[in-house]
Amino acid sequence: MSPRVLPEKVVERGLLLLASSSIGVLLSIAFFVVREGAPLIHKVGLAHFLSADWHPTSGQFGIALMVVGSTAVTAGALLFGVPLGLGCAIVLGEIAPPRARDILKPLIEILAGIPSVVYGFVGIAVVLPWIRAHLGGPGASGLAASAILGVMILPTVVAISLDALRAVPYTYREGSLAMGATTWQTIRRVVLPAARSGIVAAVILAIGRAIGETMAVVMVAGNAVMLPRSPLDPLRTLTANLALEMGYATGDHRAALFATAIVLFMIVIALNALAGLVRRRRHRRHQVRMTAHGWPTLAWLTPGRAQALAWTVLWSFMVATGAILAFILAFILGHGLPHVTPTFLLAAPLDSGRAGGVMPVVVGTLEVTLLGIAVAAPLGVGTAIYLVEYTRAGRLTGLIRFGADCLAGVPSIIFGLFGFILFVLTLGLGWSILAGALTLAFMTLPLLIRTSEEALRAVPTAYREVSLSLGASKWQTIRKVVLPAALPGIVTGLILGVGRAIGETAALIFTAGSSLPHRAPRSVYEGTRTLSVHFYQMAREGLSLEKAYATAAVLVLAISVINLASTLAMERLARRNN
Amino acid sequence: MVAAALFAFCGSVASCVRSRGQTLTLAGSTSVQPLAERWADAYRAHHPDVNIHIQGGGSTAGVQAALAGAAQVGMSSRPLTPSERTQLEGVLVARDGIAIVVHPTNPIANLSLEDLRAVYAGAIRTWSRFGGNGPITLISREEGSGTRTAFEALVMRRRPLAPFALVQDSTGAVRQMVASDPAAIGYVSFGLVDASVKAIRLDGHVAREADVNAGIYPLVRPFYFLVTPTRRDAPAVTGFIDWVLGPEGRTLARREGLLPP
Repeated sequence: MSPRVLPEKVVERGLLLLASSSIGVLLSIAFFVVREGAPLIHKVGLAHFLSADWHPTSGQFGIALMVVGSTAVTAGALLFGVPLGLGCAIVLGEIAPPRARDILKPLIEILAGIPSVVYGFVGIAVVLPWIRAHLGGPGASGLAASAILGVMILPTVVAISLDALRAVPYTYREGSLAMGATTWQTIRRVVLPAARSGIVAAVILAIGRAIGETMAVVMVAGNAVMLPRSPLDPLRTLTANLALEMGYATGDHRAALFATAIVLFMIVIALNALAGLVRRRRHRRHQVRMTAHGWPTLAWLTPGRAQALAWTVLWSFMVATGAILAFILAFILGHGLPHVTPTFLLAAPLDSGRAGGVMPVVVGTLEVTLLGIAVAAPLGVGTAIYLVEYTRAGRLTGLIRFGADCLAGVPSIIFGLFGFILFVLTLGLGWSILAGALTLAFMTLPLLIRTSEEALRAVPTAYREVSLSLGASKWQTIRKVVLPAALPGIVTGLILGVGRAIGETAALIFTAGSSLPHRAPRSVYEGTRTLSVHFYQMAREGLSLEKAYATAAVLVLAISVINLASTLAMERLARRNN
Repeated sequence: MVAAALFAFCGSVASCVRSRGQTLTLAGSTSVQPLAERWADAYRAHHPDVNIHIQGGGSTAGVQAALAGAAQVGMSSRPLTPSERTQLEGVLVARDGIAIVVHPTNPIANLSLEDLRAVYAGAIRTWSRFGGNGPITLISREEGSGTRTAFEALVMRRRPLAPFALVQDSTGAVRQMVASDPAAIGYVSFGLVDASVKAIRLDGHVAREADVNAGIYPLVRPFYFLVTPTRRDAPAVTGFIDWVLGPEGRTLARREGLLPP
């Protein structure tokens, strides 16, 4: 036996171990939710559970109105988010000069990094009063929630549609242009139809994101359990119901909330299955039909004028998106930065946070986030390597990927309660950095598996073939050839994970805790409040608006810096690899 | 498998670390949390060796944590359920008057209990009945919360709350809503009333200690500390609870706008 054989096997076993641990994690969350919630559905019957009466303290557990609420808000969010997002994607992918694209794309990614509690807060401070003053009603409404969610799903729509546009072969565009079509005709009649399945997948994933969103919706939707008759009526979504009532619910009421989570789980599973189906169709041959005009032709609308019109509309969408981002940043930084003093950054909070600063909170946030990613990264990347390099694309791989996608849509409060029961209570870790980090690791694991997998798959097979044919072993090939080539994508995934972790609130209140720290934590067994949790407590309990804005400013700046730094690092890495 | 090993490791390390210095953890109701933080700050000044943590998460998380031992003391703003009562002792540490608040620009200064009930039942939907104008925006808490349970028992008396009432998940959030909407009415902890909202009288009374004790002002709900019988006698726990119930703790509760037990 050559000495090389054993390590190869050890490596493969090790990766298999990582992959099966990841599956174990995914399964244990699903099992937890079903175990807590399914008995109630069985007890009251499905008909009762799907009825329209929700009075949990008097034994009525019908969730129909919340299903309506979630559907209405999601539809509204699509109305805002999809045209804007698709417009931005077309501008970024097809129209904008490369320079402009390099500036605009990271800006849109900043939108993805803003924590949902900050969106909710901007909603309360700006959107609700505006609706109340100009459109009437209480302000807190389906319309407000749709508008906020529309902005929140925008980055998802942009990113995935952009990928779909890029996947359209250049020859298509060249062929069309060579036949004398204008750029706009090419986009509308060739590129968009060819990218259609990817764009549909983007919309479906955006739906999943909108349905799963919790904190921002709780803050602006009004949460009345009623049938909304107009966009100005308040409504309650499934996730909002969970987040609102979980804190005080006991017995059947609590079980009913978990049963709500099962329903959410099933919706997300259905959506992902649909997205998968649509995406698979992408691999079929594109059949672009150059039929005669579908719409009645207008004499004055010459191809040139049509293009000018389209350019105006598309760029105005891009400008609108930029304006929304600029407004949010200006609002938070404008109100917050004047209060971000050296004392604020270096002192501990005093008087329930009304005075003093956030130093221990910043330290705690860093520790929870980095420890969480440190636990999740080997699991996620290892699982991805095993899936891509050691298994054939078969059922198992598909199943794991599907499971990961589904978990990505589970509301974070479910992860929080899972972590609370497993880490805080059962394993006796108490509210601690460790418990918070492990919960975050569970939460970010699906994202890390997914992004690492995509990055590994994007490495051309030829790289591997060349390395293997030169006599390198499989693991050598992976370590020296595949991983370096996939590194930018993997690191992007890690950074997205860090962003998600920093912005997290609900899961951490239950695991890392919300106790006000008086000094920086000294061990991972101490609890901590993270910046997002601190902001939530300050803003929501109305303790100090000044400190809340300052905390939000630190949060938004930190996330923007992480985003921009990662973009720059990626570019450098990509250039070096070339 | 790796995960299982990791958990086992965490568990064993955690059990070693549990025995570190004097740490007291309280956990539960977000309504009690701000008051408990005040108590902890003052107590820490006398006992620098005691490290107190005040965790939120809601009354139910407080019950679970007190039972599992993750917290020595649970905090609850709702009465215990019968099954919880067999395992935990509830120590009444403060009473919280519930104030009815409206926007500062609202001319209404007083409501009768019957009118308040009719407003929250959705029978009266405009302020014009009381000399104001425009529709009323109702703001309530979520079902199960201690404040709402108390409000339903004391004000609604079995009349269902209007389904179109906006629901917020913390008493601070209710105040924020009322402060930003001229048409709104809500109910919040008396300790939370500040210049951003206006507390109105209920049948001519405010939540003053004397009125509450005389039974004239009806809107009061209890704050409990929850302990298991075995942990009740631990020195750190007894020391803190006795201090909270003593003169200093009572004074502090009064200063926060609450009523001593």
